[in-house]
Amino acid sequence: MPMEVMETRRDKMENIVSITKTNGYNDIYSQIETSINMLGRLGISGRVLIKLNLCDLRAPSSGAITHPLFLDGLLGYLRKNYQGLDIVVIESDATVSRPDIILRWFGFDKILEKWDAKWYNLSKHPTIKRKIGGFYFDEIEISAIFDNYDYFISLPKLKTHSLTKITASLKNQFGCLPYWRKSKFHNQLDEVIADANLAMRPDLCIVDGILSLGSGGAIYGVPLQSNLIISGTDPVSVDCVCAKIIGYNPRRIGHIKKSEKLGVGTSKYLLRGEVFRFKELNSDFRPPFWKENVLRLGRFLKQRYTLTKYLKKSV
Amino acid sequence: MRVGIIGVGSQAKNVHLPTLNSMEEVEIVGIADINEERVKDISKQYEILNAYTDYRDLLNNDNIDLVLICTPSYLHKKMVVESASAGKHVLVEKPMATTVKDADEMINAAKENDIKLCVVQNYRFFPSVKDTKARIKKGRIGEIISMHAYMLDFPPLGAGYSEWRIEGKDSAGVIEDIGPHLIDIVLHLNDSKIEQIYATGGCIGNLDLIDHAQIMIEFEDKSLATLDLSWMAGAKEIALYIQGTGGLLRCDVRNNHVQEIHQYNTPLDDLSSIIRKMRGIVRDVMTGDYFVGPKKFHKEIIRNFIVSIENNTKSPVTGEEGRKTAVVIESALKSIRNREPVFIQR
Repeated sequence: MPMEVMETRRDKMENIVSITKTNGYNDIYSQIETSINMLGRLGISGRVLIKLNLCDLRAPSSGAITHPLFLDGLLGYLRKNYQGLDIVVIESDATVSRPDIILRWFGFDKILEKWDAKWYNLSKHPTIKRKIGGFYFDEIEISAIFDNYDYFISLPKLKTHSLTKITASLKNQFGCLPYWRKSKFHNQLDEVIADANLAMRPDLCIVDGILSLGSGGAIYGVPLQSNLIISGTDPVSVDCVCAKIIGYNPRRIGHIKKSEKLGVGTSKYLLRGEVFRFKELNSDFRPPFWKENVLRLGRFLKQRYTLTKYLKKSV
Repeated sequence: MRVGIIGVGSQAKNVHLPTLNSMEEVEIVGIADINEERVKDISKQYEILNAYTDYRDLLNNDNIDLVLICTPSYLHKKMVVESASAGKHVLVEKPMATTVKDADEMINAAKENDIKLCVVQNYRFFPSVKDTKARIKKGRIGEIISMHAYMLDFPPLGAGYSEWRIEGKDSAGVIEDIGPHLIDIVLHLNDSKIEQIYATGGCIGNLDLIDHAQIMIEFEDKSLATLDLSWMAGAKEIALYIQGTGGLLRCDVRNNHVQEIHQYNTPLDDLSSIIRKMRGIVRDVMTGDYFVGPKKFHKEIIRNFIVSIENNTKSPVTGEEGRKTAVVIESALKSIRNREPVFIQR
């Protein structure tokens, strides 16, 4: 969708983030409907892209990847409420992930067939270049499908992340970059996430926080039955809420701050739905204080070691 | 609750009688044993008025509400069925049965006579097993992929032990002795239905019995369990390694310690785990629980059973759960004999 049309529609809408408490993945269709209905009219039409989170070959019960039942619920909701949609489910290859295989491994392919949705691996199709003037990319290479769509839905998981602290809707668009070795961006992750969202901003984010991942992430951690769906049309606002649920101050999350600075979204929002004390969940999500700092120290030493090796080689 | 005990051999003498005697809500009304001298000694020691050499006389005593059966397992069926017919609630030592047919007869007798049946499976009451169960239920390791369970113990040849487990014609050796504990823990933690069982085992020496065995269980949800049982290992251990889609659980049952692993274990994780384990052991040593070990949980199971009788609720370990253990024992023995897997029919 052209950028200026998107901007106009965003201005007219109230910026709402909804929180829905669920009973596991039971009756997921109506839970998603409740969550989305709180956001008001969305105007979903034409070609709809849905970005999953298939970051590694992990079972859905690990909490690391989008749960097939969650996708099933969303596709059911879209087919029931909107006529004539051309639904395309997207994901790209990653350093440790081959989504084409994961798709078959955990039965996503059958769900796509059931709801007449197409599969599109962003790494295996033509790309285009778009000038964005971001923090890291002045010109970014993205899949050509982002030149030909009407509505973009991001379907991330609610997880902690060892590098970015949290991973929710903004980080999910990092997975839209068509490159296979995305780990090469890990040293400038916050900047690249913000740039990716500037180029491929979702119109709707629905975070699967029913089975989340805490104390680690984004691939290995503790699966948590947090039973939440967080939805919104602004990825920055949605991530602010997700950060609070996990127990972080959104202002201290680099990629949230940088995305807001680039104009991807705002940290001012209206909260609707189940209002509860976020602190109730914090202790489950955050790793113990000592562990968090030991891991940070480990990463620092690893970097230092790599740097020493590099300097020795240079000499 | 007025209790009668059938069979006052080593298990009753060492565990059940001291336990029942220490419970205020229990009155030991009578005992029965084939060994007259033993009956006399114990009735004198615990001041029990009714001592019988025929268990049928004990069943005819109208003052008894609950019968505890501590005889060799090949006698369980006959005694459970007759106790049920006499209208007594039954608490039976493990294994409830070693064949499915026997287990079914006991369950049917309990239903027909409207009495409660409970199996003494005390190991599931270890705090470490309860903690493991709670973590699995909470989804902290996702879905179970496989379980490796070990139970290594010395054979029951100590003073006061009868030799039926070694010399008995139909004895299943280690599978019948310590096997029911491990089987019960595994089936308690993974409640999926059993699809097939393969087992292998034998005797390190020259006797015709099973002194070490491995049982592999495949469940309906494709998860697996391997049970390693041995009388011959040079160590005593009861431990579980449970692999799930979201992590790994290490459960040291005897030392009451559970460790959860996600991704990989750093040396600091191990250190923190050892500190936790030592703290727990020191606490148990101070309270004396450490030396009582699994015997401590007999009281819990008896107390819970009495509550279930009084409130007409589910037994803490039901006959149906005892039947599941019988399915595994019977199939494992069949698999060892025929050297092929046994598919479980439902």
